[in-house]
Amino acid sequence: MSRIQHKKKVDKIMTALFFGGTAFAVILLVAFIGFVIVQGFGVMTPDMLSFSGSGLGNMLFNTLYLVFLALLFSMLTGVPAGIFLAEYAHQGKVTHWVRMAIETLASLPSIVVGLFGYLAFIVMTGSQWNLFAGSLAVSILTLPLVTSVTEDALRNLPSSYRQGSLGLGASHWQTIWRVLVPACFPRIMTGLIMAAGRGFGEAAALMFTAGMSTDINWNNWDITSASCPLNPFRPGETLALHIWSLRTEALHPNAAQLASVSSAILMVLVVSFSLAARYISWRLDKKMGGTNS
Amino acid sequence: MTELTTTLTGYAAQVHDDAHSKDEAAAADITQENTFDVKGLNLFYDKTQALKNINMTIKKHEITALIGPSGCGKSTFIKTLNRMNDWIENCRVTGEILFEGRNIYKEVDSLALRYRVGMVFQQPTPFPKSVFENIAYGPRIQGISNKKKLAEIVEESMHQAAVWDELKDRLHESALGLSGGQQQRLCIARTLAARPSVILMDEPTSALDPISTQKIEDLALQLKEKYTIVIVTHSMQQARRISDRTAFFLLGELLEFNNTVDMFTKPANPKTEAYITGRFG
Amino acid sequence: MRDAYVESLNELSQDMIQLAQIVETTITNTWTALESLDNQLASEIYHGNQNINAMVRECMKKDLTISLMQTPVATDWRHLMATQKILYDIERITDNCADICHYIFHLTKEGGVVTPPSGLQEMYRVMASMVVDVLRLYNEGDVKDIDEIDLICDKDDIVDMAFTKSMEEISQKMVQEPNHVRQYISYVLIVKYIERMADHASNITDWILYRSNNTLK
Repeated sequence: MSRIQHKKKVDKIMTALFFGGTAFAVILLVAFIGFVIVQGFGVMTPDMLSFSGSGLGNMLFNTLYLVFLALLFSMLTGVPAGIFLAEYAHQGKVTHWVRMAIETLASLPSIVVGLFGYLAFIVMTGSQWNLFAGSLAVSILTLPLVTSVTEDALRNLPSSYRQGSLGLGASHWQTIWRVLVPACFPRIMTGLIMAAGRGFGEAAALMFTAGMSTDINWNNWDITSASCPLNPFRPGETLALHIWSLRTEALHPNAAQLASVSSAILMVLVVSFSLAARYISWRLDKKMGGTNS
Repeated sequence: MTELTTTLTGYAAQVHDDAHSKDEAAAADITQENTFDVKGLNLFYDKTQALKNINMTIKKHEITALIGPSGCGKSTFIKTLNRMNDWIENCRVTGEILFEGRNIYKEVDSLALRYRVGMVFQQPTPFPKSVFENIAYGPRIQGISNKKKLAEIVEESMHQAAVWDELKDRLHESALGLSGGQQQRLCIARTLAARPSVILMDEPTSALDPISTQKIEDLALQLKEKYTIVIVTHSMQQARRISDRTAFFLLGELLEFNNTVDMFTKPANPKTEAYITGRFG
Repeated sequence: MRDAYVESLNELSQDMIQLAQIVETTITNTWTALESLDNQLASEIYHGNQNINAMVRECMKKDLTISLMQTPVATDWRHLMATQKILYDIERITDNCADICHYIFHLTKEGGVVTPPSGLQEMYRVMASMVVDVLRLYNEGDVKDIDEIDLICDKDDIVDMAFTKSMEEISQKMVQEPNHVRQYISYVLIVKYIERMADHASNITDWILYRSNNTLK
């Protein structure tokens, strides 16, 4: 066939492949989520969601609280690190090594981080398994992500924001704080969503840090007491860990069903969190006027 | 006697204007009339010398245009006037620049300098904030936080930049939704809100259509009554339309600096002649 | 660079050189016709003037077009503006030649030839040299010798003096020979035209100076 016809044919085939690949990924995701949720909610009974004993309510609370703390730590360390790398670091050997260190940190196995957390946060401080240690461990894993998202976001801003601000007599810090960081806020939010996703799903890093038990008394609001929900220095099993323990230790009679329901709840949590964060990001984008995100 | 006085005054004025005035004549200059006095300015990026021995004065309430082919140093030069070159690594400056009589490297704080010497850039990019917040940015960094005062300053600057009528109902909308010409005038309002006495413009209309360009040129002519304006332009027609004096840069040197009418009618330097008549680019 | 622009300027310069030659020829021929009262020649010159005018207008048009389209500055600008002014003076000079030829008809028609005023040939010669020199200076470009310009201005003074003298002489002759008054009136007009031509040549020097030095007297 002629050259042009051949080109058109190849074009059609490739387009079909691209569509196909994408469709496959979407279908896979939908099927996966669908399967888990349907299976889980199929065997659910109301008392499974309770906030006591073998109910999942406490695990859900722990998961949310832990991820919240982990995000807080990542943000407090990762965002400044990203700002430093984008705005203050000179192109030199030191920056090169810092970057390498961050990339290595990103590819550490979570079980190793968990063991490190056990050593550093549990054994060396002489404490019990606690939520705080767990959130620190997770924040180690999410730190590189937040740092690189922040750094990339800052580097991709038009240099005219910087120039415009400095030209008006702002200091470097004023420029970063008042113009640059607010401008990358949506992207940093996205980075935090991804970090949260990581946190929800962590089991290996939490095994030896956050502990496998939960003993919360919802009537106790004395933050120093070990059974107060808001005390981070108490053991706190998350949903992911719970799934693992249910399927391996199997002490409960309806362990399998509980595991299915846990999975479903975790899935719903992840998806709704992602959607909510995207919505907030979209609203902020609109307010700042349709930046190219 | 009056004839003698007239001759002497005439001579003094001529010496005052001469771009290559000798040191004795430079000392006789009355610095308060000059917004900027540049003496023996050299600028190096690492080993490359980008500006060579620049001597010039910029007068109050005038529009001074800087022309020359690409890479001649005119943009680099204008950025020395508000010390924006400080932000470039490996950039070294020798020589003296006096702003209203004071050395900008030794006697003036760089941030304070930029409050007095504002800059409008080639790409009109307002911040990703509302129109109001963009303009209020300058006063805010100077420490003004009183809402009423900020509103006053914003309105006044918008009037001066001739955008009040167009944008007064869009104060809290994002600035990124405006057209190119409106954005650039917004950037001018933003610069004016910081209450400078000088406005530096680095090719402010090269990214704009002819009508927006015309509006900004009209604006510059109005503003020169209260401000001093220095404009880098690659359009010699623009220089002719609006500037009082023009400086011609080539390969980092200031080859000629004269009244615009004289420079374009009979330049003293043959290289200036060759450039402005288009015999070389 | 700007090849089309430079090309158009060169073309105009070539046209101006041609025009200068035609003006020189016309002035020479006009004298020939006047000296020998040659009606035929005078007629040729008179009717040929409209061709010269067309050429002048053509040059003016080219000048205007280049000025509009190319936004000339500096030397180019001064050259184009000066040329525009000089073309006007050239047109007046050749028009005056035609006018002189017109009065040559009158002289022969009125029968009885009279003696021309005594300094006529000298006056004409000086004026002709002014025109030829000034057009040469224009086509040469930059003014190298200011003395040449001064010389032309001095010659203008000579022509003015000659004009005054001729007027005196003709007035007296009119009183002495009242029946030849018509012819003498023709001569009055002829010397007037010669004086005007010298004036126009002098004006051209002003514009040549402007083109060189950017000074406008």
